[in-house]
Amino acid sequence: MGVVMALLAAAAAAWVLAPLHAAALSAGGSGSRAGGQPERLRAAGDALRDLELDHATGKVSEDDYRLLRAAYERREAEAGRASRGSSV
Amino acid sequence: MADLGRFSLLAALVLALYALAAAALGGRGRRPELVTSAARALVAVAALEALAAGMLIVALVRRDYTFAYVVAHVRDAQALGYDLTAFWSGMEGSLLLWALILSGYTLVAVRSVARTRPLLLPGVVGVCAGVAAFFLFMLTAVTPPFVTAPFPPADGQGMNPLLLNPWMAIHPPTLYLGFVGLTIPFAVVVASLLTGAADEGGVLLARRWMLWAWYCLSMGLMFGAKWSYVVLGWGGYWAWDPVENAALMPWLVSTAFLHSVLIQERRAMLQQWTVVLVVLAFGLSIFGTFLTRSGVLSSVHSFTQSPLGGYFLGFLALSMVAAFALVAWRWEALRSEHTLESALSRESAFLLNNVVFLAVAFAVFLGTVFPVLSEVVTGRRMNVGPPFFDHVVTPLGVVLLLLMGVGPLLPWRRASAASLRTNFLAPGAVGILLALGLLVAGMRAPGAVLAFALCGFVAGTVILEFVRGVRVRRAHQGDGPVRALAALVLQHRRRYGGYIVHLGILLLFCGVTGSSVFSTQRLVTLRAGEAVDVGEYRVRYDGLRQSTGSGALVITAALRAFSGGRDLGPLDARRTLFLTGEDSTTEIGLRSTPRDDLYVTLVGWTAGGDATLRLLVNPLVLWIWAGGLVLTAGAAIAMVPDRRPARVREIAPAGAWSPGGL
Repeated sequence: MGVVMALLAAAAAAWVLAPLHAAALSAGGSGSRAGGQPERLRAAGDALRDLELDHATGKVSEDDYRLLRAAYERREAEAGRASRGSSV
Repeated sequence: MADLGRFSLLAALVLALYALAAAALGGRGRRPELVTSAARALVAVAALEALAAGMLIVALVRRDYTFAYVVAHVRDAQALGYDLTAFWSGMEGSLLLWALILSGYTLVAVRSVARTRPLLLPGVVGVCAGVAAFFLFMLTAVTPPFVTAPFPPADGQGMNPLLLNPWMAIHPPTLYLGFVGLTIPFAVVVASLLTGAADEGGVLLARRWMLWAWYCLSMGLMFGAKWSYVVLGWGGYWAWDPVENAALMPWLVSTAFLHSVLIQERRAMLQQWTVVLVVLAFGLSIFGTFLTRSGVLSSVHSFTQSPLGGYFLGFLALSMVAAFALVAWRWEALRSEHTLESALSRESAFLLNNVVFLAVAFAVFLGTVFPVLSEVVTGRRMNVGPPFFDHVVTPLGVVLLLLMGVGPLLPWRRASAASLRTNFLAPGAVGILLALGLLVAGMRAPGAVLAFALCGFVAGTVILEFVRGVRVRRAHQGDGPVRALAALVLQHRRRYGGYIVHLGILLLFCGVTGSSVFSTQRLVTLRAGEAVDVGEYRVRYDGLRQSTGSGALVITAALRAFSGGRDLGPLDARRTLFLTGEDSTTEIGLRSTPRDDLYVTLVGWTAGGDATLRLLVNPLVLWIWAGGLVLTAGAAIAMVPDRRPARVREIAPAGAWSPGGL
């Protein structure tokens, strides 16, 4: 049983510490910390689709439709810019 | 084998602590290799927990009485299936299940966050590692599952007979899937606050997890109610028991979150509030586990008494203080850019809905902890009991029902008089006509008439939403009605999935109203051959039968049900007396139809063969369980991930925190 435990411990240590070893070999090649925001993009897309439906069913006035649509498109563009920026 | 189990849990604890430290250092020092190493440590934690769980399950199935846990929860006469469920029927096993589920969730969350919001990865890994470390500490130092019995007995004690039921087999793990699921949104939000990336993206990422946790809590509550109804034999399904309340509170708060996050998404409002709800939901999940497992409050669902309470309260206090300190630190950054523009808007209705959900949660919390509070203050333990909860929660529930109908009909920003007229006319007419119809039909309970009328109003709003959507779709695409309906639901999954969930809640509300207002009950003692009338039914008692087997004596009251002279068949009710102890279980006689349940419990009997029976007619109970099925369908639709490409294509960040090798 002691051998099994020792093997398990060694395997776990090797698995966990491998990234540190790899980083040391590649002389600290770290990457960007930024990231994309697909949730925000998706949420903006959902909001636009729902707004179109509300508009088509007459639930939203013309003024509110234009205002909300502009706001959602602005947020979609911002999320898109954030995504593109993260890849630079 | 016990040594290997203990070693697995100890090694998992060490690795979880390492992951916590490595994630903190990696995040602070911007060292992605440390964060990746921490994430890998959590993979190893999951593997070691799975190994420990596997060994415990093998011991249970093999009925290895060298394990104290097996002795306490298994016996030779127990069905093999219940040997498996014994894994989570005891405290040690259930905590191991908690840890195991958390590890499973963590692995999925880490992969997802690494792909979509890598900035949050150190925080998510750190929080998940911290929570895992707490549970692993409990499993190694406080309630270890791998304790060996010094003198292994020939047979075990077996599980509490009340737990030997299929509903109780699935109730705890489903509830745990929900409780534990609340850890991931908490981790995502804490990571957002830590990094200063407290924009809506983090909360939106948390939403998906919250929806899953909410669904599991809903089903866990439903399974628990079903178990209470068919096993405890008291004729009800909800008793405001502390353990029931423990699961209800996070459900209420997560429901509030699922509505408030929609306001944040659509109107960029309530971000501070939404973040607070995530933290509260997590805190209540830990509080719920504490209530279930500490034995601090007596409950029909709590089958353990333990010294865990102090540890859980300490962990709860630590995590809540830390999380709320973070919220306070980022309070200004979380401030929303918009404010309410009109009281007659969808955001106002949703905000009011949130306030009422929180008020219900607070009332339930206060009523639940009142015995402990009263003991601390007065030295005497006082219970508030179901009347307190009924009086406080029922009116708030009616307000929530009304808002469930009003919210979807109101537009974002503000409603005009014309839109109010157009949107409320038809559903309002449905509600009023239903109320008039019920009054004409002879219903004289004002509360029930109001509740059913509101249900009619809400059903009208949901149906109207579907009809209008289909009509628009047909006009624009020329689809047939079925195709238009399917396309509408698929294109707006969250919206229409949510409406279907509302329909499920409506069914549940109707069932609760019908069964609580119009239930009929009789307690009678009958001789063989005598019959009793209850509601529109007649039940004939044909005598007692006795049988023995598996160390138990089974007493059966042979009953037959009739309605309007029509023979409905047998309705036997049983009591099982276990010869090994003082426990007994009840098997009710039940005839269930959409109109009502005829429910019989054998309360007692005499040597002469007389039987004392409790007979109930509970209207609309089947609607509650049907509501659960409809809710499942709605939640499933809302949870299906959207595979459509985003309009602006997401580009994977180069060299971000790499999940590579996980």
